[in-house]
Amino acid sequence: MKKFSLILFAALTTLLSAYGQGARNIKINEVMTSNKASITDEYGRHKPWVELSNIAYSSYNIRGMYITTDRKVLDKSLTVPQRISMMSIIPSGDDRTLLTARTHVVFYLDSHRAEGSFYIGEKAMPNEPMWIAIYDGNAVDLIDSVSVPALKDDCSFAREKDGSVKWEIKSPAEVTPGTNNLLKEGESKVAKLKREDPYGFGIAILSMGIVFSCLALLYVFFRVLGIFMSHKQTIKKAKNIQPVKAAVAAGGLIAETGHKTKVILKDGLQSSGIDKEVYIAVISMALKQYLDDVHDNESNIITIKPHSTMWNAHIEEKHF
Amino acid sequence: MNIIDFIVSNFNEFLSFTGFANATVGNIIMIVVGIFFIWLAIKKDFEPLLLVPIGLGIVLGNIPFRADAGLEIGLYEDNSVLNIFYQGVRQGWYPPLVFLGIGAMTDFSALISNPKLILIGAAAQFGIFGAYMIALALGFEPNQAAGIAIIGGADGPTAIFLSSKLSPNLMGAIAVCAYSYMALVPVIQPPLMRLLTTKKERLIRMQPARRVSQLERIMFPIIGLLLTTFIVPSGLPLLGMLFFGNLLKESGKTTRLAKTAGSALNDVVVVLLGLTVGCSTQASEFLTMNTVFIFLLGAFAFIIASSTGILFVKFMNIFLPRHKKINPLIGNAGVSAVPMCARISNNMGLEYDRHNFLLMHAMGPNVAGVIGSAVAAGALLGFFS
Repeated sequence: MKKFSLILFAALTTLLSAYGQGARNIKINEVMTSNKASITDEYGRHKPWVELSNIAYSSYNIRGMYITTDRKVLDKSLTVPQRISMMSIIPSGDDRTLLTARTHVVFYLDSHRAEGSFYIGEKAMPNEPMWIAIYDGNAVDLIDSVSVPALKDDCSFAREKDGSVKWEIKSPAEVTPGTNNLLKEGESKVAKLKREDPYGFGIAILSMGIVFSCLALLYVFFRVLGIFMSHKQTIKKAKNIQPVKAAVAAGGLIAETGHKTKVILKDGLQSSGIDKEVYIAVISMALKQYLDDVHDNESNIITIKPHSTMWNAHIEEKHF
Repeated sequence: MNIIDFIVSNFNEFLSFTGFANATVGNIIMIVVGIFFIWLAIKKDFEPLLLVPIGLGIVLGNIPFRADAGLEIGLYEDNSVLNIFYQGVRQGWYPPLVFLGIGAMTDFSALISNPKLILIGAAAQFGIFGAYMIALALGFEPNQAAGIAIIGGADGPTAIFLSSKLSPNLMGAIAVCAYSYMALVPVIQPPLMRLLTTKKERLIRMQPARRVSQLERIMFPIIGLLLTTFIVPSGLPLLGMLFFGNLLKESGKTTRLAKTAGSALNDVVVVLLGLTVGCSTQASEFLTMNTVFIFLLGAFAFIIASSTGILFVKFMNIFLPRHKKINPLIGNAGVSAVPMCARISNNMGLEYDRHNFLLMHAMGPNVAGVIGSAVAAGALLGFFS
């Protein structure tokens, strides 16, 4: 049992850590299927593109992952080589595939692999719906996918903000390739605090409230626990006192015998053909056994009565 | 002739590298300050475990050299040995490790047996927020004011942790200030304690604490961690490590780990922390008006924190029955300089009644202060980051 628990714990830990980190944090963040006047690639061309984002606060290298626009890969009966033939691999050997925390990378579609690490051959039909997905390095595990609706020229289909489950169509002026989908503008948090709370009263009251709440919760919990534990200790102490212990034991035996008697009498009276005297004999035997047991319950207290002898008489005299 | 020219030119160049050629008045002042810290630690026994590394660090950080020589020896030069050590301060690794050690060394029994003492630890954090308001009035930015104000918690690692996140440019001054005032606790607190208490109050004898079971001692770090970090997740590095260290201690099954965390590991971290914090006080960065303000604000925060702890006990006593009254001399221990503040409470108690031992009672608010200052730091970090 212990071994099984250990194996289960190890498996769960591995599974959770594998799920919680890494590839799952890579998301398709924004897609543009018809690029007429939006960003240009390194060759000065307007190509459709897809933006991937690392939504975690740790780095992850996306080399070896796959991008595809072919829905056929969803067929689970396909072999790995068949699946790979329908996908474009993200090549290794380019440092830019290492996505640091909360960063983005743009891949140009309708391109040739030879043009660079971020150029893939997946097709995007302008102004038509499309499906795009990213797969893990084994070409089997689907990491993220999205069905893009028909988009007007230079509009993109993007998550409301990085990593959000809500998608929206962005106008050409709102498109954000290679950066956060929701750009924070305006004053910083510190500047806002300075403006809204110039003397610090608000922060002081709030922070003191938080400190007090935290410690007050601890107080309440350990106060209640303390009362419970004291009560428990008192009961334990009382049980350890010898006469009480004997009384508790005797009480327990009486209750047990009484219960048995009650059950037997009830069953006996209800059942026909069984002599009532049999039960009385059983009860008598039980009582005898109980009385014998009581006799065997000694107090365990050894009392040594003082006995005056002559040899220490001078000491007693001294006391007087 | 050539060889003489060679020797002279190289000797001149060598001279240009020496500390004598590059020394400034600021460097000399800081070296004197560093030596003063070492003197305080050794001669006056003021927090020697901290002030010796910090004092020597101040000296080390102010040894003048040619900065443009590219020697990669200075604290602020990338890849220098000191710079690598300093990453632990800048990135905030050392303070949680110190908290791990504190947790592994701290016995929370006093707090568990008399939980109302926790509230004193909370009240003493008022110094932080009082100092925050004054720092704002003096013209500091809110994030800088928060970094400075945390000195009032009297907790060096917490001060370093918060200032490294909110006001890294003031961190050296804040850290030195926090540790200085922690070392000066025996000088600052007793007059306040006398001023704010009556003789009758100082004679209050508190009920002996009940014995705390191992189950309660194990539950404390787990429940403490859950309750505090659910409210203030930004305090996770400090609170998490504090309670983790304590669980190692109390579980009874990880004694070896607790021993290492509380001794060898803690000592290594304190050495590196103290030394690099000292080094970060280079004269050019340290000798400014801001430092003067930080020291003044730190003193104010510390005084307010100690006072509110004492006054809060007096306030609590209004509602407590006679036999459950708390001696206000333990109120100062709400600031988290452990166990210095508790020791002061005990000494003051004995001064007025030689049979009134307050040490164990004072340890309650003292360790609550550690939790309180970490929670306060987490709250401020949450507001400003």
